[in-house]
Amino acid sequence: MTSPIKLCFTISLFTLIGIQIYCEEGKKTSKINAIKVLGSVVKHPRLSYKGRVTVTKWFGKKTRSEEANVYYSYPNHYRWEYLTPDGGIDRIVVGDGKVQSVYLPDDKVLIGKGVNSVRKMMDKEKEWSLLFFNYEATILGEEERLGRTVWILELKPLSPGKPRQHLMVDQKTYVVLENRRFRPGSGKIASLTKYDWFEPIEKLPDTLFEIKKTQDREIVDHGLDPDFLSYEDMEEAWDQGSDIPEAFPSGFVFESGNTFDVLGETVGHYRYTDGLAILSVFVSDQPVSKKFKKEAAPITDHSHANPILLTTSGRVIFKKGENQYYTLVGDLSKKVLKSASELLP
Amino acid sequence: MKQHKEWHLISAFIDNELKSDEKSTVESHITKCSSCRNEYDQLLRIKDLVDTSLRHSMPADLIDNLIRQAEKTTLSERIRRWFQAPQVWIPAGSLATVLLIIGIWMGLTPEQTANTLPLEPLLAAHSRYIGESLVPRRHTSSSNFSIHLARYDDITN
Repeated sequence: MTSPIKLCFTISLFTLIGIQIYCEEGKKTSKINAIKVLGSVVKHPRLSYKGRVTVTKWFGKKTRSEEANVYYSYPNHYRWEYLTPDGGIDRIVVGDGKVQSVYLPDDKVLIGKGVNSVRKMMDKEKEWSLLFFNYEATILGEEERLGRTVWILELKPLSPGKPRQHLMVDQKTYVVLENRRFRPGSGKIASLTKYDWFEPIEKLPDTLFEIKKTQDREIVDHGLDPDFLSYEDMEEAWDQGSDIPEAFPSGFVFESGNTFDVLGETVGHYRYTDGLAILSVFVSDQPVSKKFKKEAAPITDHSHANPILLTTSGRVIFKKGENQYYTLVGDLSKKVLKSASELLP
Repeated sequence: MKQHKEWHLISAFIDNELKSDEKSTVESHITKCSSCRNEYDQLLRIKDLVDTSLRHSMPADLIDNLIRQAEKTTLSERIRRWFQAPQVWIPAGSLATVLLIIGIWMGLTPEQTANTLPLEPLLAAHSRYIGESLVPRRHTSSSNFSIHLARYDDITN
């Protein structure tokens, strides 16, 4: 016969085991859910919408913000109207999934390879697996944003010195209503993108997404067209690249590269990704100036040099190699950049 | 003499400080006026007493102390005086001008004159590449994550 003490002990033990199993299941569920949510986020939202987004970036204690009116029409038409501080339109980005054009305030239109999104070298499945190899995706909970319930989806790097991100994903539409990127190893935000208002809409006029080519507008290219060469192509195209590693610590793997000219000197650009963060390694025969001119460019104009150093997390380090000079750039901690630089010849 | 002379005129007469006309007037009055004559005598006695009294010489260190006290000024006063001296400003101004010119020259001269490449094109290339991620496509924006999300359409579809 079982004594009452034994009975109590057994019940307690099974209760504890139950709690443990429940917690483990909970962890698994949240992980599975996070990936599922992420999967849903990347699908084309089967709806059209409009809204206003504010992009804020922190540089030390200072911040810079830029607003944009956003129009999205299913399946892949979009229009972003970046606003000036007084509410006027600074520039407009229009795309249809194949061609993108940028209308600048001086009545110029950027169109073509320089502003188009280009297929990259890395295999999509590889990059996807790289993302989950280097980051842990977790649903931290739920919150209200703009009167809508969102999941707080965290992407946490598994190695230190890389930025962590929080995505506020609308539960009904899977649109990311807010995106917080934190400084590496810190709870401080480096950049924040969020909708100030958001409205799903049945149909937006097609005229919003027309790419106009009028004679009074000069079609130009901004000359920062990145070629997407494989590691082998880089070696062929540029004989100095043979000793550059194909991977770096903290999970960075070569994604693509290209060469370009600066003041008549050829510079090699090796780009690495861990599935989310980007590490650039520039190789040159001449040293690179450590001075940076902080020109007043829009923070979301990525054809400009400014955005990388407009957040506190943006870092650049220099290294003199045996035969070349290296410049490493990324939104990463100095330690991560330094450990990468130590592998350079 | 119609009126008595004031004592300070009599004193000045004794000290031989009056002009000749004043001196003769006072002298004439004293001889005639007994009251002023008394005043004159009293002042003369006092003068004699002072002249004949015992004198002590001042200690030498006391004189030095008194001179130092008189010349003593505060630190701020001395600094103010130092800066007010024109001989300070001429070399200081010259030095400051030279330093300013050197500073401006160093600040404005591009570093690439010493065979260095500018950093901006490299940063722009990096940003442009990230911009591939950041190109506002579909429903995510301004994060590295956006492009990764956007580019997985084919996988997840």
